Amino acid sequence: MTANTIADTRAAIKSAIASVAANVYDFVPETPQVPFAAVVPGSPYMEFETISKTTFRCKLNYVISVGVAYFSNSAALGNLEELTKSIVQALPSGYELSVVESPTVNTVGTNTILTNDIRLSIRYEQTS
Amino acid sequence: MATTVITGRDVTFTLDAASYDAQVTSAVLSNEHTIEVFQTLDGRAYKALDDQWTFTVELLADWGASGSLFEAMWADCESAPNTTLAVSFTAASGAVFAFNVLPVFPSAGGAAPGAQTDTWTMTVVGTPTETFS
Repeated sequence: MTANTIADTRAAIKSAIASVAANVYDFVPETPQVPFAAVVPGSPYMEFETISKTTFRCKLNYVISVGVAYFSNSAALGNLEELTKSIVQALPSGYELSVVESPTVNTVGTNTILTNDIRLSIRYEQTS
Repeated sequence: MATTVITGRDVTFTLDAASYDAQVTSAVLSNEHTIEVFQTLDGRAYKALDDQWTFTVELLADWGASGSLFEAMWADCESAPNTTLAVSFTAASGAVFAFNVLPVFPSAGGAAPGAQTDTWTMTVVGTPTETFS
C-alpha cells in the first residue's frame, strides 16, 4: 500500500475495518467506547528492510487493540473473539498478520474492559 | 583513516534499466575465485585459473503489481533465457559496478503469516567493470 504520510497508513487500516461492529480509532482514545478497535503503533514501530536511502521506505508494525465490555467473563471473551475474527477478515490483502495476544482485563476510568492485541505489518513508502 | 561504515541501505542498483530499490532487501555481488595449487619440487605454487561472479538478490515479491519486477523477470527468462540483462550496481556513492546477468525464473508463493519473498541467484556473464571515484 502507498500512502503519503504514515498517518494515512493508520487511517487506511481504520477505513478497512470500519465495517466491523465496533468504534474504530486510528489513535489512542482517551476514553474508548466499547466495543472498540484502536490502531496503534507496535514495537518496533518502523523496520528498515529495503536497500537505498533515496526514498523513505519502511515496514510499519501496528497493533489493533480490540476491547469489549467486561461484565461476564464468558460472554466478554466470546464477544472479543468474534470481534477479533471480524477485524481479521476485514483486512485487505497486503497486510502481514502475525499473532493475536492473549486477552487482558484493563480499567479505563471507571470502565472495566477486556482487550487483546492483533499484530500486523504493512510496507510504507513516502510518495510525496 | 577514520572508520568507515557503509550499510546495505547504501546500495542501489538497476537491472535491465529498472530500479529495484523498493523491493530488494539484500543485494550482493560475489566472486568464486578458482585457484589451482601445484606441489612442485620447489614447494607449493599457486595459479589463479578462473573467476565466476554471481549476483544474488533477496526481494519482496510483487506479482500482480503495476510494473511488476517479478513478472518482468519471468517474461525475460521465458522469452530470452540466454540474453543477458545489464546491471548497474552501486555499493556506495563512488563505487559502481557494471555487469551483465542471465535471467532466472522467480519463485512464487510463501508462508502464510509473512510477506512473499524470493532469492534470485543470477550468473554474471564475464567480469564486472568497476568505477571507483
